[in-house]
Amino acid sequence: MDIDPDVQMEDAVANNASLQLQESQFADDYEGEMSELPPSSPTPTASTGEVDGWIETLKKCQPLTEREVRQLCNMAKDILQFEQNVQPVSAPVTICGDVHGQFHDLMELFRIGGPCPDTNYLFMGDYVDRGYYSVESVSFLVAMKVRYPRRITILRGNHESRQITQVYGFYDECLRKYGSPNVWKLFTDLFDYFPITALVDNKVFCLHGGLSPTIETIDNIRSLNRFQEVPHDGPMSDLLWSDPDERQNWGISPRGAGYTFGQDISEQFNHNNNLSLISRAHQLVMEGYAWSHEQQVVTIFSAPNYCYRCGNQAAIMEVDEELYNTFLQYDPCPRASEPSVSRKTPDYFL
Amino acid sequence: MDRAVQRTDHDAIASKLSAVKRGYYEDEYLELFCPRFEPRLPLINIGTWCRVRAIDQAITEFLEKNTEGKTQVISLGAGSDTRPFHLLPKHPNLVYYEIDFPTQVRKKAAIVRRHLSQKVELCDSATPVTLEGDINTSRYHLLGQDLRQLSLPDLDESVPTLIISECCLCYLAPESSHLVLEYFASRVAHLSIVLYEPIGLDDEFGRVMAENLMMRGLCLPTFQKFSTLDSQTSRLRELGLTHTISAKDMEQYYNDLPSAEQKRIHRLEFLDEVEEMNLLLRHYCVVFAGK
Repeated sequence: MDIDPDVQMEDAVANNASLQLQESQFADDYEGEMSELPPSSPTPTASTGEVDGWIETLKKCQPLTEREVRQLCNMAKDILQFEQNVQPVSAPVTICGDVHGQFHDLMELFRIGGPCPDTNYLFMGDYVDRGYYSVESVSFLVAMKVRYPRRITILRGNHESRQITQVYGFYDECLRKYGSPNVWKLFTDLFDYFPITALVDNKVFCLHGGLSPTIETIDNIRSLNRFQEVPHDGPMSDLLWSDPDERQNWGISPRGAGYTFGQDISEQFNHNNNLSLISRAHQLVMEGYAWSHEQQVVTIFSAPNYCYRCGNQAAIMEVDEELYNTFLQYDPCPRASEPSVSRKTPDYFL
Repeated sequence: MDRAVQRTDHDAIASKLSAVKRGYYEDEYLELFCPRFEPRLPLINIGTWCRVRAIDQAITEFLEKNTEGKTQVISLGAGSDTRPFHLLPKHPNLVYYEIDFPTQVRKKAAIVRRHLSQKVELCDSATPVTLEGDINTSRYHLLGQDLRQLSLPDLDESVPTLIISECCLCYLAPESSHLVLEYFASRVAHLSIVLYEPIGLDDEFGRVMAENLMMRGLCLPTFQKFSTLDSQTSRLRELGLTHTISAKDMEQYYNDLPSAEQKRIHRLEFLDEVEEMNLLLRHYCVVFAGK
């Protein structure tokens, strides 16, 4: 499966008759649907129908079995390992920020943005931790990735890491829902395969956190080895942890990882790489999206009433073929059917 | 409602223990009152530490200003607070009052008698232990009272006195909390008060906070009436405490910390939830004022 994922499948099939191997291998993928692995694959592979069944289960906010998660993660690895550190994506696409286990709000996101695969999606990380349904949320997004690999892109956030998930809830949730850390292990091993950035039509640069003083060009990112736990520092860590700031130049981040970067840094990076916009997530913004650095940088946050505490709106950003942006904002999804006793109130100072 | 308010003591003490275990500050007595360690998120650890630090600072300032002769500290809704056991041995002229619901006081008194009698001079023969649960020694008074029927006939009103309300008055109706403060303001000539209270109900975060606390059976009537830093400050001014020593929301307090302290706590754990923490801290304030 040594292919160049830079070549869009539609283009490859339509315009390049010499790519016979790719065409035959990805014939089923032409409309952005999943392709089955050869039977010799050592991992148990589910059929399209089975994956559709998983998606239906997950849509009801019911977790998959451990065996199903194992199958799902193996299938996802087979796709994600061929994606690039800077995964190319074509417009139109709807770009989304942090989800953080707020499963019902994730379903609301798809109602607001339109169902996948009719709408293309790009998620910029942080699917797990903090909310009550990290397992269901990340399982759903990975299942959609497996089912529609060309229609949905899922990047890695700083919470897609072994260390952070042990502090912020995903580990505990897996233990509670499965009785063992096996599912946590399966997912955190899978996270090492997630691409760390994406580039929409070579113009809109998407990632979870922000820029790094060690990265001047997009090509610098292409040369990183991303298949590892998120390191404590260095370029890969910075991409997942940094924040834009009102102060110029680089600054020390209050988070203990990554950096803050000023407008001068964003302008230079966008100029050097011929970009129109840096699109990122990572920070709670009360309106769901926020411009900074004179519209060189946009922050998108897709978890409404974050942690069931913050009272914020969520947003997603539609990018059309002309790379024109439209923001769609939304409020928390009402959860009438959910028993309120299942909701532990968030901590305050009492 | 009273039960729900009493349960807040567990939140406070468990958050404090989490911050202590993480290395934010030291308190060797906490575990006596909170045997089970439940780790809290970094933003709760930091906010808890700021709250403890802000009140401690006010106490220190008060004690340093009044080194001549006797001083009094009166902690309202003290719950499982451990401050008297640290302060009494260090300050021989200090008399410490703790007031809380009788059920809370009974639990605390049992632990104090069992483990901390040396610290509070329980053996002081001149002042025997009285009433059900209450502890009365010459320098430590642990009193089971409903603040809505506050009565301290033995209070020495001539002594410099500091009142502490660390998330206490916010659970009372505005009239009741006014009566409590008025009780002291009208009697004690040399009075200081330090309040740690929630503020900012009138924004989205505040609305969700009120809703969430309501789900736990907690309503914050004074929170609605004194919803800004200014209203908290002027509430004390109107009681005659015209000298405002400090008044900050906790975000400001955190940002104004000495940089060495900020550096120290940044090393303790990753803080991913920066914006959320700022929001949460912005919804609490510490106001310290004197007559």
